[in-house]
Amino acid sequence: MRVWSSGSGRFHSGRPGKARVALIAVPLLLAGCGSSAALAGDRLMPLRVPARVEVRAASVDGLGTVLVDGTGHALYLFPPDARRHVTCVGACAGTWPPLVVASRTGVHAGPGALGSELGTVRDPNTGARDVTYAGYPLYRYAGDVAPGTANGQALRLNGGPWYVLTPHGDPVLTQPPYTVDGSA
Amino acid sequence: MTTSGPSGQPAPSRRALLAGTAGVVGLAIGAGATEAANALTRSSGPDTGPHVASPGEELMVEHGVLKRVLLAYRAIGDRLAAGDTPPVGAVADAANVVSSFIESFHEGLEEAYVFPRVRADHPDLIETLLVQHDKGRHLTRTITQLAADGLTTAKSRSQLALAVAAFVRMYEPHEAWEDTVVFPALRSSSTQRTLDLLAERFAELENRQFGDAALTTVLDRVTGVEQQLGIADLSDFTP
Repeated sequence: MRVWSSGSGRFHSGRPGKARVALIAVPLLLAGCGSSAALAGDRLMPLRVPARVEVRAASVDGLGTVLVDGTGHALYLFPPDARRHVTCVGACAGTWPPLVVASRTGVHAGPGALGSELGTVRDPNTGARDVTYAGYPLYRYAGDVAPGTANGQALRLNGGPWYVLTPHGDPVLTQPPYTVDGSA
Repeated sequence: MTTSGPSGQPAPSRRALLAGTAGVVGLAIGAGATEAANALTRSSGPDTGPHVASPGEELMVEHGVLKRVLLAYRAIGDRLAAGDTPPVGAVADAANVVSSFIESFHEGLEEAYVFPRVRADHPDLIETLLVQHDKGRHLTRTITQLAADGLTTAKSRSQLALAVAAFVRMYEPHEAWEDTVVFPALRSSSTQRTLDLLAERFAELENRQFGDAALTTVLDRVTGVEQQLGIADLSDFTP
């Protein structure tokens, strides 16, 4: 399991205890999306909350097998979430819509995903549940307008980097090639 | 409420700048500001007071910030075309303004609150705008990396010229379409109550993310870029 370290700005191997998570979380919350105070469900944000969602594995060019949602859209983790805490709210949640579901019972593991890693946490954007995997809340990327892409991979945006996940719950740290004309 | 700007003068908030006066800033900040201001306007008889910005107006002011960065990118491209190396700090600062303010905030507002409301009527346009947001983020990543490497090689300067040209070419029509199609569509498809609440939410999120003087602060950063590039005097653009 890889764990985000705010000090080094990198992932390292291990599983943090509660105290360590708290130490990681506090400064990152302050520096993350800039919205550490949770909204009590943002009624102006038209995020649909389905009764059922699926998380499965699929292959994405250049990144290998990663987690996707039921429509084949890549799923991402945001290290400043520091496990089981949604820090991406407001404008951030427009670019990175959380994978929300009405209740924990609506979350299903599809082919290649591990049901034991799935969970939910309260989503401050909708007041519903945000699906977690290996403890990390999951998000889509608004720039993935079609399934099968992971255009948000390794982008540094909204206060931190964003990574797709392997079916084991580890972030994929592969950096995409740089583009000088927007073609990559 | 005002905060101190870099010049030592009190820096008015975004709302004060949008309203055209700093005198109403205490009224216009914080939860309920829009409603309170509208109620005041409604009850004050003749319409002589400052208006609270609409969400489209808020977003167009942010487009003005982007326009000034595009001017900076154009100046950087001109220097590169002339065989000069632009100030690395100006390149890095301009890209940072885009990353932190435009891409990590402004575009997120559009994606969270605006595009979903107009997508049914303009599906192809919204998809194109989303793709362009993504392309822009990748170009900014490239520009940031090239600046961090110091622009010491002809190859890196050539790559920077291509990247800023692609960014300017894409974002000029991008924001023009948003200003002339998307924001009017938002206005026509939303109730006045929703527009007021959206304007209030945008200001609340901006204050939370950047502080009360967000617009002043980002404009100071843009001015710094312009000064490094020698394009800070508006009158220089007069023919």
